Amino acid sequence: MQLTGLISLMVAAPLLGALIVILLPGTTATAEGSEQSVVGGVQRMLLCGTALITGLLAFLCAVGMMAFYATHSQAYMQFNEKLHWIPLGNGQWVNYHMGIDGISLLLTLLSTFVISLTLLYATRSNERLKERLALLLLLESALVGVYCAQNLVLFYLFFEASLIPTYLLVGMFGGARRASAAIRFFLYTFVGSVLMLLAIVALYHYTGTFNIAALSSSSSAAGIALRHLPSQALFWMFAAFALAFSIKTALFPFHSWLPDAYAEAPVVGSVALVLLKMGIYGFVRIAIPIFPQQAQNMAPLFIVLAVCSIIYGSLVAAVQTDARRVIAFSSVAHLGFVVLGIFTFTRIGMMGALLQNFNHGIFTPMLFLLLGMLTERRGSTDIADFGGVKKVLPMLSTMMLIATLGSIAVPFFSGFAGEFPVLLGSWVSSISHSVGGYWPTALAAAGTILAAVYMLWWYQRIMLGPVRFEEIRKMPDLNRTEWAVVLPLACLIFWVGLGSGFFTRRMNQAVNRLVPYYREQIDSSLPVSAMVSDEREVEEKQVRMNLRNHALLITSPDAPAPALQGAHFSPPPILKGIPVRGYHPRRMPIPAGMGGPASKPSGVSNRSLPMQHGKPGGAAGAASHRPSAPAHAVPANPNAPVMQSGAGEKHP
Amino acid sequence: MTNAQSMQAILPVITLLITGMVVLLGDAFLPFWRRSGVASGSLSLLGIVIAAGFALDRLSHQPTHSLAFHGALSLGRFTQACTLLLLLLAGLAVLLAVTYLENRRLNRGEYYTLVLFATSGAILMAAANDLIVLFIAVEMLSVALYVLAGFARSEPRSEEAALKYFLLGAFAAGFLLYGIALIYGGAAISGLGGTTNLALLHLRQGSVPGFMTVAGLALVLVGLGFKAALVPFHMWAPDVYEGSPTSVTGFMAVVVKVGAFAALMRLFIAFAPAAAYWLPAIQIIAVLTMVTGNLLAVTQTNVKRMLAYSSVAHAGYLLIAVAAAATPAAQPLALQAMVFYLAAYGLMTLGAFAVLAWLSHRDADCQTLSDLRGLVRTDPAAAWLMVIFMLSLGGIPPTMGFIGKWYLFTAALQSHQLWLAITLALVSMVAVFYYLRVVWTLCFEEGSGISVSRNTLAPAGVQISLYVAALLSLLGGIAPIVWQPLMLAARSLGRMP
Repeated sequence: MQLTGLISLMVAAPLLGALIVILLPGTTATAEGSEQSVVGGVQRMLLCGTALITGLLAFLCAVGMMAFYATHSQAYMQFNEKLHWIPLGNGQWVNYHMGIDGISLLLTLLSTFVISLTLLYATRSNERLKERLALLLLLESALVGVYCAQNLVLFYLFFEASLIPTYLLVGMFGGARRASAAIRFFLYTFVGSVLMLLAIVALYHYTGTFNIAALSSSSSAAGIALRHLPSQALFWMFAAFALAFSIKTALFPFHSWLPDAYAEAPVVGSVALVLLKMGIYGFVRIAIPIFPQQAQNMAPLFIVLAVCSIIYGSLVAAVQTDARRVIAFSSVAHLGFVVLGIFTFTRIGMMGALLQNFNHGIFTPMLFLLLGMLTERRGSTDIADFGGVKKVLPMLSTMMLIATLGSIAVPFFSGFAGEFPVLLGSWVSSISHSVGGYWPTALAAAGTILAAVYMLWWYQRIMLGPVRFEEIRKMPDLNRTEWAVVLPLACLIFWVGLGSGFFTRRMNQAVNRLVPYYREQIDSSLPVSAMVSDEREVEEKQVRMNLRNHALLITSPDAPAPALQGAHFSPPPILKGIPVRGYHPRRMPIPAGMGGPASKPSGVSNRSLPMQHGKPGGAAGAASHRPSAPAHAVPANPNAPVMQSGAGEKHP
Repeated sequence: MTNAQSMQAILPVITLLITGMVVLLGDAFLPFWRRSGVASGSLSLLGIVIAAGFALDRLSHQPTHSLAFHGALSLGRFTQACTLLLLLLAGLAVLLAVTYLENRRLNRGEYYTLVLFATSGAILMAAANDLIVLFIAVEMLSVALYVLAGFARSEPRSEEAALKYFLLGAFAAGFLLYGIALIYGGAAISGLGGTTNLALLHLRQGSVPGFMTVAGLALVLVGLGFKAALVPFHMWAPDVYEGSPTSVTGFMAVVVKVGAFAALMRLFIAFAPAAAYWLPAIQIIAVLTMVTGNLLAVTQTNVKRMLAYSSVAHAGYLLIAVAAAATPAAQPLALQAMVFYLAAYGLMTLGAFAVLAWLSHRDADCQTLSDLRGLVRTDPAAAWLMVIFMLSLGGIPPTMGFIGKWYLFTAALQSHQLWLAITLALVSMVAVFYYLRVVWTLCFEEGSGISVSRNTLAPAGVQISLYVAALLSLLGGIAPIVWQPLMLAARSLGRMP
């Protein structure tokens, strides 16, 4: 079942909510405490009601899509929406093209869910409520947009648009050094994203399309044009994307904006910053699928950086005296795990990374929210100002313990379900093996121990021991709103920890596409490689049979082409009588010892299902009907003036 | 076109001129007119709307012939697009002036007359197909602006601005005229008879121009570069922008740019076959302008000066479109990118000045960063509007500034000028810093800036102008399709005869 319009609704609802909230009267000019009574009951209710309803509406859209999401569908994207957006002249358009797959779905679910709860949290304070709510709603809209955008311009638009509300949230409501933290965060990410914009325009220049699906498929005209570019050009484009995403992810040498921003931000701002998952998302949606070879070549570097992130983040977190900075540095470590999993180029590592990315979006906001509640009561974030809180606030402490254990990756809590597959993936991956034997895995595993050290110590200093301050004795425990904020998060932590399959199964197809069996980097010296080789053979046989049966020419085995229902370029050309083997000689001999431990039988069915043809159309569709010989680049659109001057060979 | 058709085709300009004279006479001879305070403004607005109606009508008719008055003017769809854009900006500027002048006690009818004359001058610059007509149009625009710059007669700064602008402007006009003469001479030397008609020059232009033509082109570039505030001809901009009354600054910053860039585009496209001779100069000036404008803007604490340097920087961005037009394949996209960016630049710059004008009142002219401190608490509406304009100027989505910049990127890459695109990307990072500093001052800093005491008697023109500009900039960023008619119209300069 294909519902259209849900994605747009999900983007538009918070946007509309933000507009209404901004235009609602009153409550703005309440800078001084004395004026806060201006926030009348009705007005306040109207304000919070609008924000919560629109925020929740977006969440419901995400839930609805999850319910109707066809888990086993071969479609590249579901719930597609496409409209003309930016005119380029000559009847060419940049499209407003939205769609969702398992990876996006999980992230939209996460952002709408956590932001709805954060909105609820934000309604408790009166100070400039209107702006807080409006900015959170704007952020929600932008985040959802990033995860659903199916073309690079749209992606960039939402990517950048999410910066503004975050910047303002941090800068307007943050702590003492908020302004410098905010501007540092903004400029840091902006530098990366401007380079990314250059890369996006360069991609268009070489291929004539912005469509992510077309660019990441190796059988589309755009994909073929791309793969025949000089490797240097490809490298620089990959580097621009990777830099932008690394900065956004706060990978080790680019992390320095993160601790300040996280710690100086108000609680809602910290949550907002944690939810900026588009760095990771960009890696798996853009950088790796469009530049698979470059990504693979650079993977050792990323693994080193990820391990550095883990160790560095953990060590620095251990010595912090500010409660929020501990969590900030722990985030660096957690995101290191995510990057490690992605660049192992194994299905299990990838899946674990994506799940860990989701987890990090649950327990870190929960920690920040609980810490915010605690800080409001105590008026300080210094660890030294706490102690023995558990005796006074048992409920809050319990909730905090759940979040802490989730963060440490204790089994049955969500962190374990994410980090364990990452470590497994790193163990079996030949890439991480090539970096330094088993050291990367060993160091990353040491990171989890370090996490236990600093997080438990942190928890112990705040919550346990004797009550050292009189003020702590007077603090009230969680009230009803606060329960409503933290309880759903706590439930989710257990849900992911106990039944992660519910969250991962929708990502199966996407991960299989991301790490196809012939690209999976399993270390052949491990027993596991022999174990998975049977599976690989089945899969390979299936593909060959498929080709023979349908007399299809699949231009390259990694083509997501059979799964392109709804994507806006046409399936690969059907040419009878051309021998399949002769087509892509450098692809066909599949190296032995490759297969996927995580590849479920669904990976096989990936190729066995009949073709589902999308409607031909769009830039790439025009050209992919011709017998596209791989020897030279076929322009994506023969009409495109760019391409007339020769795709790829020419340099300005 | 016959003369009658030609007259019909320039009806927008004629309407503006007639309205301007009526306003002048009414203000001079009718006492009730002057007392009402809004009569001149509203009549000017009416004239602008009627003129826009004529332009729209012509735009929708897709004229087959574009050359009017025996080739003196080219009134094709590109010109109509520029005309519409200019009229939109002029209308917003008039609305903004109604309030500002009333607040500053400067409300006199001749202001609107001068605005209308300057606008007609800019329209004619966009339409001029003959270098002599171009010169007259430039003078028509400039003379009105010299007077406008000194409109706050009682203020020394305003007078200084007017004098500076006039002296340097007259100097630049000399360059322009000398350049035109050389181009004429260059054409005469070739043996086919001297001409300043761009269409004819284009026809005759081979890939190797004579020395006189190149020298003439260089001098014309100096003259127009002065108007467009390109580095190194930008020295006047900060002082003049700072000294002029804010409403004039806003008008000047946008209208002159539109006129000057339309003229530059037409000129260099006419000489496109000889691109090898002028393209390097344009590229160097573009890079210089982008870098210098942005670097100097960083150090400013006066918002008007900052916006002046930023408008210098934006002129550099726009020059990328001119450079891209040297490649025939990229020409339509370059034209489209330029018109879109001009629209974006016009709306956001005018909007930013309108916020300053809105905050100014009799005793205090809002100019410096410290005037804006903590505005989000005292006047949230003005503050948020300013944030929108600053983000748009910085090229951050989802605003029109971003889409505009993106078009420029695309145009630069399509004409294989990768280095211009990279420079644009690099300086954008610098630019974001100083635009964000305004946002920082507005939203993050505590303390009180300018006292917000609204003159409730003043008409609400500036608000309308602000909201329209903000709405259009956001709309242009979210759904650029609303600008499509204008962009489509701008894709071609019209058939050269």
